[in-house]
Amino acid sequence: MVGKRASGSPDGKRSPLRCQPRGLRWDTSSASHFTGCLNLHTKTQQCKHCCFTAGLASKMVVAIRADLAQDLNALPDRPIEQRVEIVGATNEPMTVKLVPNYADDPLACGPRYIHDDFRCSWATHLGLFSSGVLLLGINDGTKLTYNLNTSRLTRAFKVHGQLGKATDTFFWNGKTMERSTYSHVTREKIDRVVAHMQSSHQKTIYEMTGLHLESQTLYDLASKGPIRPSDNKLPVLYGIKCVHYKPPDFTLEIQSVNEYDKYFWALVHDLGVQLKTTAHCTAVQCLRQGRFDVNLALLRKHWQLEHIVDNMNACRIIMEEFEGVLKPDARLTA
Amino acid sequence: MFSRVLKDTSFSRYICRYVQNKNASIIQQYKVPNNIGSDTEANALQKVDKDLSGLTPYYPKSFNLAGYVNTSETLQKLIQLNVNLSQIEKKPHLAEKILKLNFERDVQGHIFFLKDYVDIEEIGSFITKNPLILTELLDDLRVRINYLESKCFSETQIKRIITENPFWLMFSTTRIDRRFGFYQEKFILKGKDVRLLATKQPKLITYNLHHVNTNIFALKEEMGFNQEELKQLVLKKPKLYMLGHKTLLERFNYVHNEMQIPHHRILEDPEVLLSRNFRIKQRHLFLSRLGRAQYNPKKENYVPVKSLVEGTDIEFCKQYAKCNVADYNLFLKTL
Repeated sequence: MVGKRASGSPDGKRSPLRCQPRGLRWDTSSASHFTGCLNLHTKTQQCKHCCFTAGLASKMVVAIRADLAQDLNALPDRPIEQRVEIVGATNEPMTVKLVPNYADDPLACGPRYIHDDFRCSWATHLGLFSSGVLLLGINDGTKLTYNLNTSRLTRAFKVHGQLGKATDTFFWNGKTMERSTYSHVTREKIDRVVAHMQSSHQKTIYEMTGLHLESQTLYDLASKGPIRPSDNKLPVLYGIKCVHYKPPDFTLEIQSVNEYDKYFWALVHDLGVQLKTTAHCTAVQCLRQGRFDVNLALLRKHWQLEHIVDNMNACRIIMEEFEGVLKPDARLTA
Repeated sequence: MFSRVLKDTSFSRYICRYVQNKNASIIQQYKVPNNIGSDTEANALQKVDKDLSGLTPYYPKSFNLAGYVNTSETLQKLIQLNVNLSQIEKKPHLAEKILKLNFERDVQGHIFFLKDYVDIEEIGSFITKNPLILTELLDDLRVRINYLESKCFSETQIKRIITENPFWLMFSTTRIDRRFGFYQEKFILKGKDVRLLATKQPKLITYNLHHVNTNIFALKEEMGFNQEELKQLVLKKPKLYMLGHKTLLERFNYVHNEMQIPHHRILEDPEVLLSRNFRIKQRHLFLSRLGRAQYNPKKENYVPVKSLVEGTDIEFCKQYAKCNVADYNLFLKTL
């Protein structure tokens, strides 16, 4: 019962029932920026493109394919093919005719472009409840997204959290498990805990190289830029910073590799515990992946051929300009 | 897609492996000498002086109707009428029925009949949506139209009903009558209202009644509209009863519980429940961020609820949010 009227109220007004106290509604379905790295290889043209999105990637892929097929089909069609017919009695001179080939009519053979003409793949997953940048490859671009995935680009996130409540999923949509006070938490305390998390991650990544911590080799390695993990298993955070704190809400800005949405939820939960209170995550936003940032992103309403092609060109320019975007100089750990 | 269409075989018509298609007598004559083993040596390369243009190979097996289009006059005429065969063939049982049709025998009469009620340009899409209309008896169709006339529907109303809902004519008069009764009883409508409803949204009359019942329950018990309001809703936006039950509830929940729009205001602008939720959400959040989310007409800076679903984003930003659409897009990226 969502909005059941309060039947007993004398003036006949509805009680403003709020059945589902929903958290801060960073809902994925609405937050839909879509940029991505698409390389669209169609029958008539070859182009590359980048786009990003939020929400359920597989649903998004369905939408993108449908939009592309629809928009390409709406373009002026080529003329219908002709076909040669030889008619007349066989024992007399026969006539050769050129007639339109009805089988080539889109009404008979179906639309020129269908969903299956567009293969799609995303470079990295973005969780169901996250929003922001998502790189998507179309057709030949799927190779590109594979390269983007294996090059382990750092992603920048904004993670929103709230103090005072712990949930079973560590996210706002979970069941409340515990409530606590948070008046003792200050900005400085959050900064301290967060800095500690960052340093422990830095230490781990140096240890992962297998080199002696005081050796010249490790110094040389580290001087080339951030060391990235070679596999996609271990989440590594390169920087965590609290950028906004207004009790009980806070926002962290995180640069990381190999992270996933639930890792951030747990991180916020841990932060709460270390602050001697409780916390849950209210939203995860991806702001940037490598050189592709949210300014380039295509909003859900812009998932149209025209914008997608523009976006592909923009992304191609970025990839040409920064050749290292696919092959960062810094080493991978063993 | 095109590459999948089987190539037409008219070229190979004269080559070899002749199979009699239309003119059985020719092949009979042709084969006879071979069978009795006469002294003239009969083989496939033998020169024949007869007219063999009637001989054609079997139709090759095809997985779509396009394979038969070039040889079938009926299918060609249907294409000329703008019937989308590629849509029809998605349901194989329909494709089979279409293939068996003969234009002059089965199709012509129906088209002459339909053209009185459906615009000429619309006939193609009408048959695309409901190809089975061609298999109905013309007399039945006439009876169904007569039924509408007997219920005092005007000519323009009947035209609209048939054009908007190609499946209407498939329903027997008793079924339609029962359905009119259902709506009349459920919403306590007068005869005039039933006619208005049937004209406004003819699809609702032939819609799945279980679905409609579920939505009536949702609107009445779960959302708290009363009987009179249900009637207003059905006459204003009959489509509400055709929406998915869950989406409807989700939209109402957001509009009523999050945006605090009371029932009577939803009743004034029921289209707010017809828009996808993310659209309302985005615009509402933007207005709240600007401090303009004020939906009460009795206070200053009033923004109509309708504005959340109507018009393009550019119009919305200019008229109600009073800002540039670029700012709105930037805001959407922060969600």
